[in-house]
Order: sequence, then structure tokens, then C-alpha cells
Amino acid sequence: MRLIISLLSMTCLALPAIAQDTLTGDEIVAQMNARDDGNYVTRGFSIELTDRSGKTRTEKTIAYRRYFGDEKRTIIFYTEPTRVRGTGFLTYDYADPAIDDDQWLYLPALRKVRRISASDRGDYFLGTDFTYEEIKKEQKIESEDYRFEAKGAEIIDGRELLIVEGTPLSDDISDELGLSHVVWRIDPEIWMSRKTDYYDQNGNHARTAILEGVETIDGYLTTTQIFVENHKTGHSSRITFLNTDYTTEVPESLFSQPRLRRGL
Amino acid sequence: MESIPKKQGVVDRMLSLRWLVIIAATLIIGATAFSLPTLTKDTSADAFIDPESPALIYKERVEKVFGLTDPIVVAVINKGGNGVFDTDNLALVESLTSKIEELKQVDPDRVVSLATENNIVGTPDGLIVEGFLDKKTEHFKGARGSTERASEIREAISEFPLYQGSLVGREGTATLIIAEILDEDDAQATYDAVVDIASQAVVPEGTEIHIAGEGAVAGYLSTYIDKDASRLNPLAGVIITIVLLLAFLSLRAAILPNVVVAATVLGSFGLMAASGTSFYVITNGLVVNLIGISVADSIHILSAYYSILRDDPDIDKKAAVKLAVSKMWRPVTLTSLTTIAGFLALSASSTMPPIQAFGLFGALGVALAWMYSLTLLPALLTIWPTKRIPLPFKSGLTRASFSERLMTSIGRTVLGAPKVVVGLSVVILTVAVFGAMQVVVDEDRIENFRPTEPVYMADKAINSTTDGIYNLDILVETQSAGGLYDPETLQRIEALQDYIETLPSVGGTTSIVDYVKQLHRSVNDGDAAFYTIPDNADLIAQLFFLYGASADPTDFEEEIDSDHRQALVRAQIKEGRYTNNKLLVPALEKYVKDVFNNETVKATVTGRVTVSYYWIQGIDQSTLFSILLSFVAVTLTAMLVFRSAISGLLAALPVGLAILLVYAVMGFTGIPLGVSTSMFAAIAIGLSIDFAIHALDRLREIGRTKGLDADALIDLYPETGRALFFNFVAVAGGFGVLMTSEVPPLVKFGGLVAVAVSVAFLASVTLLPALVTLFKPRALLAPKPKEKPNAFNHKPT
Repeated sequence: MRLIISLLSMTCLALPAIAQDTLTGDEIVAQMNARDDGNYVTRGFSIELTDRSGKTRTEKTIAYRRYFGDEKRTIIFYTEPTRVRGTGFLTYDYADPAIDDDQWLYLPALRKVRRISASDRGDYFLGTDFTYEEIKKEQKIESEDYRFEAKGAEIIDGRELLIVEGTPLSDDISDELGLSHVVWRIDPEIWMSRKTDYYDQNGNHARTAILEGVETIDGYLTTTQIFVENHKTGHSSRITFLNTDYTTEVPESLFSQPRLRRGL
Repeated sequence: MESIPKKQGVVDRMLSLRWLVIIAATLIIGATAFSLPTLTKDTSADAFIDPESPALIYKERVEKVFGLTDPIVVAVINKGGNGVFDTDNLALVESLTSKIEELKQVDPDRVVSLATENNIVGTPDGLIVEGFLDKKTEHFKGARGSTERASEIREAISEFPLYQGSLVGREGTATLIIAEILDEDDAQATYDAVVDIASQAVVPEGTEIHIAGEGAVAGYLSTYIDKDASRLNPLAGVIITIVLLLAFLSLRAAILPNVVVAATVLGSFGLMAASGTSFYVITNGLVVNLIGISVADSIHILSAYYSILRDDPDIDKKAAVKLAVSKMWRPVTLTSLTTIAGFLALSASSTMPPIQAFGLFGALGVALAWMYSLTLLPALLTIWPTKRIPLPFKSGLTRASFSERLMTSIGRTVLGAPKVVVGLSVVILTVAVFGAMQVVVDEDRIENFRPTEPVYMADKAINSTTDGIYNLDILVETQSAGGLYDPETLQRIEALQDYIETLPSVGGTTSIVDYVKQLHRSVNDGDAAFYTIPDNADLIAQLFFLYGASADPTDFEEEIDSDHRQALVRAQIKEGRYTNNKLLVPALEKYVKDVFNNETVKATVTGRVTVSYYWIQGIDQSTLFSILLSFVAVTLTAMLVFRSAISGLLAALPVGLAILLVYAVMGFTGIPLGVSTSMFAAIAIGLSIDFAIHALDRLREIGRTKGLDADALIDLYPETGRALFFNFVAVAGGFGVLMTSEVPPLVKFGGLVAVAVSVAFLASVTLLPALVTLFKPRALLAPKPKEKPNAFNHKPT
């Protein structure tokens, strides 16, 4: 199935640019979701958190991700700051959105693995201003969540970006995501949104996410830096992805509780 | 009298240029009133505090670091069987919360209620962090909106000490929705919007919604006082106009002083706006004050004018005006100078910006009133088309005038038994000293409202069902980022909280330590034995991290700063009274200094309660000084203007009595010395001195021409006495109007100033002449080329 998607995406990328103007919202989103992100990947996250008074705190992690069929498993180990070094998160993310993710946490000072409650997809990811949904989807969009509408194009930094607005298909989804609508500005060169605006359930402009860095690594189009600002709290987060490696195989055995306990 | 011819020359020239005077005055009124529309209002409590005060600086710093502002607190209270833990009340909390979050004046992420907060609970294999009213939950089995969920929430709160008393009352009869206002200037609009939301809510039977909190009080107070002042200030003008009409039975005597009043008030507030000074809560009192002061000058000048017309009905109008001004410029100037001295002393001795402004613009207003009374008023009198002599001043009829008869009979009684008058005064003085000693210093902001006001009832209801609505904060600072991971530091904070909870009226305390303990328990299968501070700094850091990872990035912002160096300990207090704060703040500061602080960690006591404490403490310490300073300033000015120490002291006597009696009334009736009451004495000084000076100036005039025997002194009463009587009725009436106010401090203000003015008036027409006729001070007699050795008791023939 992944092969089919890959092939499909190549076909799409080969399409002539003139067709873009006539693409519907659904077609644009399909292009985005067609991107191949590799069966497994190893990378470092450098997380920069800035509070409203401008004070910045940095956390560093090493993260591994691997697909098990449709299921996506992720394990993250903190390396900095020193006091939380070895703290780990293990997540099993099931393809069926109806089934809650499983999450475990390891606190080295406690020497215990603890299962933690599944987060809402709209909850903030590990104290950042990104939501779990945004981190998990890696610049893709859950097509079953929204009604998409293409809203023309906009030129930002000399690039012509396609505007797509998404509205949650139901109140439940809106609750789960904590959103009333989203506006993506998609670069058809890479089929990723360069600038995304999120509106909370009251319709207030809640956050703006900016794609700050994209590179092709090991043949895969890869995000290297993302930034998000929360307009309501003045808090912002920047994640820089370091040493992304699609070639070294990530062993299946890594995604287990004993491995979480053993740490890095 | 030697200066009168010279002065007459000046008055002459002024009156010959009367059109120029009128045009110039109009221009000055226009220029000074020009900025009036830009006058801004500041009803915040912080306005009363010196912006440089350390307590305020710390409070602002805490607001910045922890993002805390003065909130609006909405309480849902139900004293029935299940308290607030039933489906209807929880639904109400949820709908109120979401509607309040939608308000544009409110920070939606800083609204705290059962609908926004997370429950933290340990399970055998892990930890659950989820909202109490979330739809999808793991720990809570009952569906949202079910009775089962309501009971589960009650159970969860009972296992979560942090929320007990703060989010939900300890009895379970109340729960709070706390909303922070983005901009304190929007307090009014926010309060109104929240009231609107509450009034549209579907309220279950037996449930009450109350709205309170500093944000609400500030908002409420501004409309409350505004509404009141916009009713009272014109009413004061009406009362004074009626008094003028009664005194003079003349249209011009009712209209012209109002022109002076309007010019004075417009000018003073116009200049206030131009100088960028805000209109504070107490500034409302200044309006009436200026009306009373500016009308007094006019009353004395008009009285003199009509007396001159009566004595010489054929006199030319302009000549009469000239004579009246020449006669009155001296006492009017003297009273203005002494009142200015009183106001300036008030301004100089206060540390509170609103009172400084009150004193300063009061002094300015008096100066403007003086200027207009001696220029504009005479100029307008000369161009007034008629020269009709009003009824009270018609010859033949004059002696029948009630006020004259009244004053003359008072005069006969007083001068017939001066020793009795002095004796009675001594008795009153003694009783007053005793009463004044009973005065206590106290202030409670909520007492600015009548007990029937919703915000007053809300305050009382919330304080009786929760840990309290007043916040006392302690800022804890460590040396470096992550300093709060140190178990020893957290134990210090825990001990500090234990200590605070032993202090009076403290409902409860919260800090990051409570979260750490709850998390520690939760990661240990919810075992209550782990509701402790871990003794491992790494574990503490990881617990912080864990919570941060499970919640919003700003969830902890109210308890700890982002690099975990500073923490806020917040105590909830049930009482806002100064007498209670006085027991809390110094004790806590002593504990912090002697027990808490060490080389690695330092605490500072701050928060609204501390700021209020220091604010009122300033009143506690400075009031006596302020009164003495005003009194001395007024006395010295009187000595200077009379060029006699004895005259100055005599002038000060009615003033001293007036102040003492104001304090005696406060002492006997239990009115505490607070923010507004602390100014009364100083204002009373400024108003009271006028009576003494007018009386004394006239007594001196009589003394110099006729001597100081009782027969001679009776001359004081028909004209000056009468003018003083109407001066008294106008001022007392003007201030008395304030007693019909709906704002309790204004009621007290009006009442007490009326007391002061009455005492000053009565003392000036009784005690003062009695003393003068008994002791016959030389200063009031005509200077003699040769003094006899026993001059003091010498009776001139």
C-alpha cells in the first residue's frame, strides 16, 4: 500500500503546474497526504520554548519512528535538560482514529514506566504550542476531519501558495481538535503548508504555524524546522529537526516498555 | 483701613475696565476649561498608592511574571443537598465558562473553573490527566452531564486538596469561575458583560450566581460613583441656589454666584485634565467642595453690596459695588489664603496621588474662585440692568428679617453670658477629646458599597462559602533556573504555607508544591502516602516536566515561571479589612525574614492584600501629621495675615474645635478612619477657617472703632453674622446633599464635613465673641500711641 502511495505521489508531482489553479481543496489535500515519509526515521528534536516575557528554554530529544503496517510507533528520549535526561515517551498511534493512542512515560528518577492517558488530538504536544495532531501528521492533514475549500492563491515571500480552508465535519471533531477552522497556505512545489492559521472554537485567531525549513534528505522531502506562535498566550515554540536519517533501520524491538525503561 | 483708599483705586480701575474684565474672564474660563473633555477617570485601588511603593512594584512584577491580573470572580452557589455537584449546576458552570471565554475583554486561556481545570489521578499502571468536564474521559466513567459524573467530580475534588476551597468551596456549596481581564481599563465593560451573561443563564432552583472580585469591584465602583455624582453635583448646585434665593430674594444674587461657581469648577477640572491628572473616586468630593467654597466668597460680597445699598439707597450702582469690593476684598483674600494653605498642606502631607491631586486642585480652585469673585462678580454686578434692593435689605423691613433676628438673638445670649459659653465649650471639648480617642483606623473597599448592592452581597457570599476572595501573594525567588527542584526549598515553601494557614482569616494557600505532591501521589498509583515532596531533585524536575507534557504549555504559569526559578504562593483571605490585614502582613513579613529566607531562597510578601495594607498603613501613620500640618499652615497664615499671633490663634480655635468634633463623631459612631475619612479633617480645616476669619476680621473692625464690650460686639451679628449664617447654610447644605448619596463614603464625607462646618460656624459666632469680650485682646483694638500697663483689661470709654 505504501508503495502505491509513493508511486501515486510521483505521478502527481510530475503533473504540469498549470493544473493547480483548477484543483479543488480535496485534491490539494490529497497531494499533501501523498507524500512519502519513509518507513522509519531517526532524528533529534531541539525544542525551543519562549514564554510571553521572551524567556526561552531549550529541550533536546532523540526520536525514532517506524510504521508497523498502518500503525505508527514513536519513541522519544530526552537528553536535555540534564535533570530530565532519560525521560521517555512511547506512543502507539493506531490508524483508526476511533481507537485512542496508547502512551507510556518513563521517569528515570522514579524508575517506573507509567501509562498516561491518551491525549486529545488537539492537546498540546509535550509542553509545546504544537498539538499532538500536528506533530503526528508531519505536515499532512486528516482528510476525514474536514470539509476543504480551495480559496485561490496568495504570494508570500515570492512563492505562490494555494489557500485551503478546512472546517471540521462535526462538532465532535471540532471539540477533539479544539478548532473552528484552519487556513493552510500550501506550496505546490513541495505540497506542504508554509503558513497555517488555526482558529479556536470561539473563532479567535489562536495560532500561526510557519514552516521554516524543508530539505530533501535521503530522497525524502523532510521538514527541518517548524515554528508556532500562540496568539492568545504570547507563548511560542520552535522545533528544529537534527540529524534526520532514513537509512539506518530502526529495530522493531525499540518500541517496547522494557526498551523505554532502559533509556538511550 | 489704611489700605482701603489704595485698594479703592485698584477697584475703580478694574470697574472702569469692566467689559475688558468680563472678556478676559470669559477667555480664561474658555482656556482653562478647554481640556475638560480629555479628563480621564481612574477608579482603580492601585491609583491611591504611590507608584514607587515597593509593595506595588512587586505586585506588578508578579502580574508580569505569572500573568496574573485582578480577576472577575463568578460564584455558583447552591446550599442544597448536593451543593454544586449536580448535573444542572455543572452544566451552568460549563456554559458560563464558555460564554465568559468568548468575551473579548477576557483572556480565554486564563479563565479558571471546573470546566477548564484538569484532574490528576494515579492508576495502578499510570497516570491520568483530564478535564473534569471533558467529554472523552478515562478516569471518569459517567458520561458528561450525568449524575454519575457529578458524583465522580465531587469524589475527585475530595482527593485533590489543591482545588479545595479555591476552585470549589470546602463544603461543596460553591464553585468559582475566575476570569482575568486583559486590560484593567475594561473592568467596567467586562463586569457589565459578565452580569449580562449571568442574567441570561438558566439557573437551577436554589442556585445563586454572584459576581465579585477586584476586577468587578473596580468596574462596579466607577459606574456606581459616576451615577451618584452626576445626580449629586447638580443637586448641590440647586440647593445652593435655593439658599442664595432665600438669603437675598434676588435673581441676580442667585445667578451671578453660579457663574463664579461654574467658572471655578470648569477651570479647576479643565486644568486637571490639561495636567494629565486623572479623575479619581474621591475627586467627586472636590466638585461639591469647590461649589461650596466659591459660593461663599460671593455670599459675603453680595451681602456687603446689599447692605451698602440699604444704608444709602441713592448710591450709584457702580459706587456701591466699589464700596462692597473694597470692604470685602480683605476677608475674602484672607479666607482664600488660609484655605489654600490648608489644601496645599493636605497635598504635601499625603503620599496618595488622588489626595495629592485633591489638595492641589482644591487650592487651585480656591484661587480661581477668589479671582473670579473679586473681578468677574463685581463687573457683572455693575452691568446687571437693575439696582433693585432685595426685600431682606429694604430699610424698615430689614430688622424683621428672620436670619438677622436669629443671629442678633444668638449674639445677645452669647454676649450676655460669655463665661457660660466658654464653660460649655470646655465641656464639649473634653467630651470630644474622649470621643476622638475612640477612632480606629480601618478600611474595607467593599464597604464603599451599600450592603444591598449585588457586588457587596457577592463578596460576602463568596467569602462565606470558599477560602476567600482576597489574595495575599508571596513571591519566592531562587538563585538560578531550576532552583525550585531543590526538595529543601519546596519544604520551606510547604512550611511557609502551613504558617500562613495559622494566620487569621486565611482560608487556604496554593503553590507549585501542592501540584508536586499531587503528581508524586499520582505516579505512585494514587497512594495517599505519597502526597509528599519527593526528596530527589531530579524526580521533582521530572514531575514538573510530566505535568507540563500532559497539559497546556502555560498551565503552570500562575504558580511558577518558565525557567522554574520563581514561584508564587497564593493565600486566599476571607476578610478585606485593614484591621485584619494588619494582623497578617507584618506577621508574615517577620516569618519570611526570620525563618524563610536564606542564602539560596528569598521570599517577598505582595499581592492585593499587602498593597492595601501598606496603603492604609500610610493613612494610619500620616493622618495625624497631615491634620497637624494643615492646622499649623492655616494658623500661621492667619497669624501672618492678621499680623498678630493672638488673632491667628483665635482664628484657629473654631477650626480646632471643628476637627476635634468630627473625630469625636467618628469615634462615637464607629466610623473608621480610612481612605476617604482621612481627608475630612483637612478639608474641614479649609472650610472652617473661613467662618473664623470673617468673624474675626469684623470683630477687629468693631474693636478698632467701638471697642470690645458686649454692646459693641453685638454689631457682629446683623450683617457679618447673617452672611456667615447663609454661608453656613449654603456649605452645609451643599455637603449635606452628599448624605443622600448611594455611596457610603460620600455619605460619611457629606455628613462629617457638615458637622465640621456647623461647629466652625457656631464657634465663630459664640465662643469667639465670648472669648474676645472676656479677654479683649489688644490685637483687635485700635493701635494706641501709648499702652497702659493693664491694657488687656482696659475698657475704652
